[in-house]
Amino acid sequence: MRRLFIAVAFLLFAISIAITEYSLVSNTFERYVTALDTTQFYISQKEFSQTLTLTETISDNWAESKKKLNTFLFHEDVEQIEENLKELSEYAKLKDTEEYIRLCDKTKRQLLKLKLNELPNLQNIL
Amino acid sequence: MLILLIRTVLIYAFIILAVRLMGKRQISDMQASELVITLVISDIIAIPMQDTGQPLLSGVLPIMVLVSLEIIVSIIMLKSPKFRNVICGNPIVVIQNGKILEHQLKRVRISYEDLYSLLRQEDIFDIKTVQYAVLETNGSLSVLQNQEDNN
Repeated sequence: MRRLFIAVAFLLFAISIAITEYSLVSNTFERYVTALDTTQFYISQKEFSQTLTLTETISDNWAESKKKLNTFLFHEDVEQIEENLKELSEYAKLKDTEEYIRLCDKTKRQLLKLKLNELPNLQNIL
Repeated sequence: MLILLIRTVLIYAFIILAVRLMGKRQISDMQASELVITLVISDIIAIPMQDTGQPLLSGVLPIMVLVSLEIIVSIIMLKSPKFRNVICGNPIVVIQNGKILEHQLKRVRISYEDLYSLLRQEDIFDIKTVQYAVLETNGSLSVLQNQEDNN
């Protein structure tokens, strides 16, 4: 009977980890995409100081949540997004609107792809 | 390298726990499903152990699920013989009163040579001395010899 309890505990732990990962990825990434949209709006309005501040905040937040995300996601993907965010800050400093928007779109696509890969739909399962 | 070392120690401890939970059995005593799970576990865990870029949980989680399912299924098998038959199949009589039951051999896809080999492993060299030989669900052969031949 003890073994059954441990088995059920293992199963519940696995399910809770899976749910935690899914909610973390879907909620966090949604926020990042929205924030990046805002920075894109700022830079298109030539508000460079606001763009820089927000981009740096996003980058810092990502660096903080990286610890959690590395537990669940491939480290390479997490690092790639971190590098992109740092590069975005550089473009904001240089006031390079074109490159900023290009990289911002790329980062949003990466975030959305990671999020979509976690969706428990038939396509991902198969 | 240090990360690799720590990961290997963690995985080793986890695998020991998982194998202990699954119960003590030798490879030759395993049911087909148990053998498959053991092989799958070794395959799953090898990747996150070597690749430090992959989260450790991606290896640990499937093993947790596999071990849990294995334990739950084995407990259900204890309670329900029907369920056990579905998962493990039935033991099959392949020799009765010294005669090989050919249709049963075909059913389990075992050749005469394999059957003789299994009998020799039981120290039986004359098939006429066998009253019953039963092929168990784990692939081993149980033999009941004629009483007079046994004495």
